[in-house]
This record gives sequence, C-alpha cells and structure tokens, in this order.
Amino acid sequence: MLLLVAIGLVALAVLNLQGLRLLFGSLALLLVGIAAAILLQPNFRAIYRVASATFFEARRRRFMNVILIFAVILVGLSSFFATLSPSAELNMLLDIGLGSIRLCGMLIAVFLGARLIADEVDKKTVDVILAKPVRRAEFVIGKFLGAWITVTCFLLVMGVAFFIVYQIKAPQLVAKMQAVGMALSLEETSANVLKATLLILFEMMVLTSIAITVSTFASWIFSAVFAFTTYFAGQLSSYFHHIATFNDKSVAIINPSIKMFSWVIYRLLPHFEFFDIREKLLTHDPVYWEMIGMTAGHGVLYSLVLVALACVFFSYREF
Amino acid sequence: MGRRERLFLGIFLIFLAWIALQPMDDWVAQHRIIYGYNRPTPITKIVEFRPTAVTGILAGAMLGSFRGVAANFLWLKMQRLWNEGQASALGRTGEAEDVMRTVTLLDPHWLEPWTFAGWHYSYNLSYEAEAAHNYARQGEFIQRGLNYLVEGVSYNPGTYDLYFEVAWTYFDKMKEYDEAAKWARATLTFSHPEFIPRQIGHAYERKPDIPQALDWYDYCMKQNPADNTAKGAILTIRERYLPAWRLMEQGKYDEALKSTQYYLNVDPKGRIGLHLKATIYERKGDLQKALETWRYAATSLSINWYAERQVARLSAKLGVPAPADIVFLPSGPPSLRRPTGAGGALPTRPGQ
Repeated sequence: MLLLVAIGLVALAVLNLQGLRLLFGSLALLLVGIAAAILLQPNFRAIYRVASATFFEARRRRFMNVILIFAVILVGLSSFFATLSPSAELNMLLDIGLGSIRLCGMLIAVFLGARLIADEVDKKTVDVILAKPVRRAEFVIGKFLGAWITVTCFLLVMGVAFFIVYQIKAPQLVAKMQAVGMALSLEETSANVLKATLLILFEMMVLTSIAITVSTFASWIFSAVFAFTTYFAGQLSSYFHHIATFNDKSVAIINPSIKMFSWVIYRLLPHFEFFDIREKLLTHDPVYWEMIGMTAGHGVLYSLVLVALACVFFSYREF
Repeated sequence: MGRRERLFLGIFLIFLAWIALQPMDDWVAQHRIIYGYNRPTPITKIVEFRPTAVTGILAGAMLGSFRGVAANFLWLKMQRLWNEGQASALGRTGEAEDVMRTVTLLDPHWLEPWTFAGWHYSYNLSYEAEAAHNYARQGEFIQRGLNYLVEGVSYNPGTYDLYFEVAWTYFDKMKEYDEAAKWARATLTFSHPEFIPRQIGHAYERKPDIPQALDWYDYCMKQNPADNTAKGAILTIRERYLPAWRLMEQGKYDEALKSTQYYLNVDPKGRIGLHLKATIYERKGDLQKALETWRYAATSLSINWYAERQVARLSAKLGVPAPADIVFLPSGPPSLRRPTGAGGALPTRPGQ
C-alpha cells in the first residue's frame, strides 16, 4: 500500500502537476524510506557496533593521520599564502583554507571509503563478522556511518585549525576592505565560512558513499579511481545539463544521442558543484540557510540511495 | 518472499527513491542560478582558450577549489612571459595573452588581472602599435583593453576600481567623452577620490557640452571651495567658450563662430575650441564645414579618436566616403565579444 502511494507520488512529481514536484518527490521519498525500513527491520545495535568499530579502527590508519597533519599545515600556511596576493588577501585566505579542507577531506573520504569493506574482504575478517547476528546490509550501513563519523571528526579538526587562522587574520583584512568602501562585515563572512565548511561535510558524505558502494563489488583501487573520477565529473554536472538542454538553432546542432547521453549522465551524477558556495564567499553576500538545508538534504538523500544500492550489491556478493 | 524477488524489490525501491530525489536536485540547481551561487565562469568557458597555455595544476584547481591559488600561480607565469616579450603589438600575442585571459576567467573576482589586462592592452601594447604607426592595430588594442575592463565590471559590480579604469580609458585613450562621463559618474556611488567629479567636468568640456562641464565644476567647488583646478576651469570656460555656446543656443551661429575663432586665432590647434567650432557648424546645418573642422581637429592634433569618429559619422550622413587616412574606432559601448585577431577589421592608414 505504502509503495503504491509512493509510486503515485513519484508519478505526480514527474508530471509536475501544479508545480508541486518538490512536495510530491519529498513525500514519495519519505514513503519509500518507511517501506524500506519495514522490509529490512534493521538491528540498530548491530549497526552501532560496526560503526563504532569502524571509527576506532579508522582512527589508527597511518595515511589518515598523515593527511590530517598535511591539511593542518596547509591550513596554517593559508595566512602566509594570502600575502602573495596583496590585492585579494581575504579571498586568498578563504580559497586556500577551504580548498585545503576540501582537498584533504576528499582524500580521506575516498581512501577510507574505498578500503573499509575491501580490506575486510581481503583479510577474510568479514566472515567472522557476518557469522555473528549481523546482516550484510547492517554491516554496510555500519561501515558507512563509521566512515562518515571519522571523516566528520577529521574535517572538524581541519575546520577548527582554519577558523583559528581566520579569526587571527580576517579582522584586519576585513577592516582594510571596509576602508576602501567595500560593503562586508566580519560576522557575515565568518558565518559564510562556517556554512561552507558544513557543506563540505555533506559533500564528503556523498563521496564516502560512492567509494563504499563501489568497494562492495570491486577492488579498493578501482573504487578509489572511480570515486575520484566521479568527483571531478560531478563538478562538471552543469556542463552535461547544458549539453542536454542545448537548443540554440543558430549554432551547430548537437547530435540527439549525445544530448540523451548527457541527460542520463547529468541525472546519475552527484552534483558536487552544489556544495561549492565560493562565489558567495568571494562576493561577501549572505548565504541563506534554506539553500544550505536543501543542499545538505540533497547530499544526505543521495548518499542514502547509494548506501541502499551498496546493501543490495553486498547482500548478493559471493565470497 | 524469495531471494530474487527481494533483489528486484530492493532495486525497484532504490530506483523509485532516485526518481523522487530529482525534484530536489532541480530545486537546488534552479535556486543556485537565481541567487547567484554558481561559478561565474564555467570550465567550458575557461578551456576554450588555448589549453596548452594552462599548466597541469590548473585542471584540478578548476574542478574543485584552489581556483584563486591557480590564478595566482598563472599570474606569476604571465608576468614572466610578459617580461620575456611573449606579447607584442606587431606579432606574437600568444601565450602571455592566453594566460592572462585564463587568469581573469579562473578568478573573475580578483580585480588586479582585469586592471592589468586593460592597462597592458590600452597602454603598453597600443603604444607599441602607435610607435610602429599601425594605428588600426592601436585602435584594436585600446578596444580590447576596454573589453577586458567592462567584462571585469560585469563580474565585480560592487567595487569602485574597475569603473574608474573604464572611465579613464574612455577619457584618455578612446576619447569617447560621453562614455567616460557615464562611467565616472558610476564611481560616485562608491567611496571615491576628490578628482572624479572634476574628471567628469573635463570630459564634458572636451566634448564639448559647456553647461554640463560648468555644472560639474560648480559641484567640485561646492565640495571643496579650495579646488583651484575647478576654479581655473570655470574661469577659462566662462571667458572663452560660454559666450559662444550661449550665442549658438540663441541661434546666432555666425556670432558664435566669431567668438570661438577669436581664441582659435591665439591657439589654432586648441582641442576644445575646434570641437566647439565644429559643433556650431553642425547646429547651423553647415555639415560640410563641420566635417572640415572635425577633419582638421582629427589630423592636426596628436591622435584624436573623438574627432575621427565625428568625421566618420558626418561623412556617412553626407553620403561621402570617409577619408582613407582617417582611422576611427567604433563608437558606443564596447562589445563583450573578444576582438578579432591580428590586423583586425579596422582600416589601416595607406602605406602601412
């Protein structure tokens, strides 16, 4: 019954009756989630155990700590790099600081996500875990949550390091810009920095889920390469949309099959550029919570869809 | 439920969730465009410029963050190429130019590259062309510099710097006085130096639009009664040009011409006097004489694009071909389109 209503709502969302796509789509997602929960009846205790074990194990991985140290150094140096660009020091500070967090977060999310399940399978420890009352789907969900909590902790450390540098350097840079008549405030800019860091967190959630999903059926190297490629392609998603909706008859006509292919790619790809609010940071305009909420929600739901797919793949995998 | 059925049901549920996710996806995409969250220069725009001019670090930077960092490194590269002579008015305008363009697209909110690009084209390169007597090329470079600056304004409408650069380039290089005044007036909405209203007055004085020039100089005096430049300009205008202007407005053209000629006898190549004289002829309806006066102003003074454009305009009005030795720049606001390559579409002087 639930499923039938969900299907009906999806149909309404696709038809976009009276412009209520978002409402119908959201309700359908809710019903699909409830249906999945009823069908799966997950053991939350088992998920929690796997997640906490994953978190404590991930913390001890040497490459993670190396990346973290590198990130903190890079963030610390952002203040120095900013001086290389005398006319745009604040922008440079934001660029290097947030860029370092994003780069190192990406490395951690991809390598951690790609190796977590693959390592368990390679070392055969997965057999020991699955011999206990832990279902495969619960194992995958636990791994995903553990990985994301780890990534969150690392991002928090990097974020705090950057915020300290920012709080030391930014007041004088903002005052300098205000002196030449630019309309910006330290509070607004600081709030934007926090929002940008928050979005990076959700961006890394999507990336982690991609790496974990692929690692349920492929080697960790393939998963890592796939995740990196998807990340870069996801940054170009608007380009695919542009091709798919290209309708300028004055320019050379794009082959319909290419347009169709671009549309499919656009719909399948996670839109990583959604998580980038650099434009607002540089123009010092306010970033609205509505946009942050919708983007974060989009990231969470996309990740859930991927994790669900990972559960299906892993449940039917032969060891 | 069997194993296979569960698999199909699972995949179906995921597919359903994926479709239901699309409206949210579209909402975010749409609102990012509406509220200006998207990157102003998509990657497709950046790579349309010679990708070989872009170093390896750039690809990653363009896709993720670090756009500003990459732009900084490329800017250093551009400076090196520039100093090595990788840009020249008469030949190669190769790698340095492409790198410069890439920097502006990579980080369009960084003002310095826009300002430098405008300066390099409108001043350095245009001077090289002028020294080689290639005036068409010179005009093309000035136009290209202006295009850069105006494009820079479109990305940074909330800052003073580029508005001023555009105004100054129109005034000093293009000699398009209406445009110069318009852009200079735009800078007044920001915190601005004291000389800006005076510069607007200068622009109207050279056009000439004597009442407007006087209004702006009066404004300067109200702001700062000790402004001696404005005071001097007011005295000069009132003594030399205002009587002729008033006579012209009363329809007493011959008397107006006589009044203007009085000062032209002292300074036969006086820019404002010549422009005023041509304007009076035109108001009088003697287009042939107006054309001759503009022509004299265009050829007797050092480069006077303003007069050249008036020659072109009047020639078209009279149905006579524009003189071959006149090189004029297209008037009006510059196109944002990238100007054409070497030689351009502009005519050159005979013998070039």
